[in-house]
Amino acid sequence: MKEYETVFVMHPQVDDAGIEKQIEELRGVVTGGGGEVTGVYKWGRRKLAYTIGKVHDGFYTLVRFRSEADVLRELDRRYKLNEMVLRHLTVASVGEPTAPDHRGRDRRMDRGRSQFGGRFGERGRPEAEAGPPEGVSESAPEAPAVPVAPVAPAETESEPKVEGEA
Amino acid sequence: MPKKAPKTLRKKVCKLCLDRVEMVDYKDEKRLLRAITDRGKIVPARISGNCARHQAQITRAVKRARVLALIPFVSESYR
Repeated sequence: MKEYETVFVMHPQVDDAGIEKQIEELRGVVTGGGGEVTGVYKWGRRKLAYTIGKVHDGFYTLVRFRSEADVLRELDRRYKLNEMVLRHLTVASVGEPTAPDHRGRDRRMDRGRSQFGGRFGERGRPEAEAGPPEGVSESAPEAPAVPVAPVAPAETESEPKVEGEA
Repeated sequence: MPKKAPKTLRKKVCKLCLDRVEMVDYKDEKRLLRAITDRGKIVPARISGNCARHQAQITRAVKRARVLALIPFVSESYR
């Protein structure tokens, strides 16, 4: 028994039920072959790096499973029977099963937060969460006013910025 | 004929070794995009300075990612 993962790309016109059906079919093949599915990860709709028969995007799904090697052949055969599967790949598991750009986006957001914590904090969100020291030192008297924005306007002109953003 | 002065060479190091990458993942789109040229070709180890082990992993990962349309075979602008 070895752990494998299989990724398939479905045609964008396929609905959720169609994707579910495909997942269940895979599950059936895997369990029928004496294996077990260990995880299903829907990456959702993604843009394709190149067009595939006039189609520009597709629904990506990754399924991890443990099974004997002969299951892979059956999987491949089933994939080929479904015309809505644009692309498929089955390999021994590597790395994280999550969608590539999700990981990328998370990392980028984390970096953004650490580098520009204060700025993003107060511009991006009107909440009180803009607590980081940078933001406070920049506009010390205004910072506490943010959470009580509806009441604050009495303070007049000195903080038109805050009002606009809140 | 006068001998040419030898170019000063700087030893390249494998970036993946520096990052202690165990296995290059074909789903790691960001990393793979850095491993291909703007045309979509795989950057040779001669240029990138990657060690043989990691270069082989990159090659494999790029080829897998291309199949799934995660990265292009040929970039749009050159097609």
